[in-house]
Amino acid sequence: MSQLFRRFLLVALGLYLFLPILASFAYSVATSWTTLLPEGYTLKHWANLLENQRFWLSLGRTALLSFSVVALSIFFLVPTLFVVRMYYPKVAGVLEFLTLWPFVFPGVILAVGLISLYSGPPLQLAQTPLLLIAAVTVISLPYAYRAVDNAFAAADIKTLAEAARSLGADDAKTLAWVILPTVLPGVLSGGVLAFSAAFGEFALTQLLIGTLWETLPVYQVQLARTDGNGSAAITVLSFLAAWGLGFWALSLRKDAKVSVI
Amino acid sequence: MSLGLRWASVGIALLFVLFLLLFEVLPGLLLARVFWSEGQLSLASWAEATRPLFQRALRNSIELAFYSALQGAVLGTLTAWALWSSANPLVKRFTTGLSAVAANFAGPPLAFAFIVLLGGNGFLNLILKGLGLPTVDIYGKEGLYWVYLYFQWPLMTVLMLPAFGAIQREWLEAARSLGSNQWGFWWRVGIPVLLPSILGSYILLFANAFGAYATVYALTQGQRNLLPLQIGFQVGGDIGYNPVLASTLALMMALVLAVSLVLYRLSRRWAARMEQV
Repeated sequence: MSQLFRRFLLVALGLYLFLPILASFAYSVATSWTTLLPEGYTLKHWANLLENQRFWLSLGRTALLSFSVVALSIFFLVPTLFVVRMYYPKVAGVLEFLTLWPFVFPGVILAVGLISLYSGPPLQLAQTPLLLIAAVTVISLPYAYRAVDNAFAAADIKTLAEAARSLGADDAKTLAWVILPTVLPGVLSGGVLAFSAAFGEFALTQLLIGTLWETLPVYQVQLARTDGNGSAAITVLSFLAAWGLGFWALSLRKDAKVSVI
Repeated sequence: MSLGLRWASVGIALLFVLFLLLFEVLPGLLLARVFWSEGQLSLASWAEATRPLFQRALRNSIELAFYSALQGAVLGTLTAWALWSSANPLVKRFTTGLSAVAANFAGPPLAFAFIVLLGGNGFLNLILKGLGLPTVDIYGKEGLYWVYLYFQWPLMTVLMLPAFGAIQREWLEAARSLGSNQWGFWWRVGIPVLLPSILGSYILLFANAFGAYATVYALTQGQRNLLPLQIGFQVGGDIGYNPVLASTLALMMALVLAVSLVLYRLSRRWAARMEQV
């Protein structure tokens, strides 16, 4: 009995997670779908989408946004966590507090604050991609921070550095050959998580810049008004990107533990 | 470490702090400016933000978050239990990975996927109609619960797995050999050990649904009286730009989330004490 119930639960979860995506895929290749199964199949909707310049432009902006967020996150997080772990462990609490901040000030709220702060001089950044990149970096920080911090914690870099030094390595060598290779999988996993979060970001993009600098999710909302099949194709693409990146990030960590806060 | 390397890193760390001040902390703190008008404390904007329309938006958002989190919590806890007691490590790993990834999948793609499934001519609705059963109105009140369950259920599953990990299977055997049945074991031992984690995870699910904007916006084109959508309207909507009202509503929302965060931290501390016992 309880064995049956367990199986039922797992199958139900699997169906719940896959069915919407499978249905979207079927819809993206359906000629028309008003009865139980699609009347016929076609690649027309995919061809239309892939020939559409607006699609490629929005995908390009999304890629630019995501790569910028990853670059900025890694540029800030790796040196910061390195000095904090190595020399100033007491500051770790402050950093953790700052990564909790987006919990209380999520995308919608952050957008309101940023708009009122940067709509006028001295820093007139409102409605620029630069402000969006900064904002999305802030929002995806908790993901990247966790992964990079875990990597530094697991590596115990202080002991590593001492060991390398006692073996005669100088500091640059210690960093390049001992510390960075040890934390690299964690840093990569953090980067992939930040990329995935930036790739799907909608609230900040819509409120800070909207159709002035259309990213893929914003374009999908526009497209869905006129072309449901094309929008379904974007759903399939977003799903593949998010799931591919997600499983990649998971495979980079030794433990399968997932921490949210 | 050589001084150069150390101070270059300290320099970047300070730059990071400046970046966070400019783009994270200040935008949040300066929202409170709405309580100052012409150099003195003023509650005019608060009065505007507590009009019946916005009171209803707050109530709707809390109700949505409350029930959506409850659905996710019940199903997710049961699923975590199923994974805990499942002997097959492959099933366990696959489901855990799947849940961890799905818990972060939201926004327009998710909303449109559910429209394909449960919209007017949605695949599942056609089946339900064919069977003579009532159909689901994805744009209606219950529709949002179906969509949110997509990330709430796997999120709760992933959050509860470590808590179940603290329960040794040998305890169950020990309880059995002492004459207790399964139900007795869960009632006296299992649930008390899990309770702090269930509460903490529930709070995370609550905040997750409460602050969600993208999914519901894409699903209803913003046509729903919920707090995040109202805030969005005040900054980027067709009605016009009202930064003071937007900031006040945003503060209202942040207040609910801040209370959630404090409760979450308390529940974590309680859970840590539970696991030591």
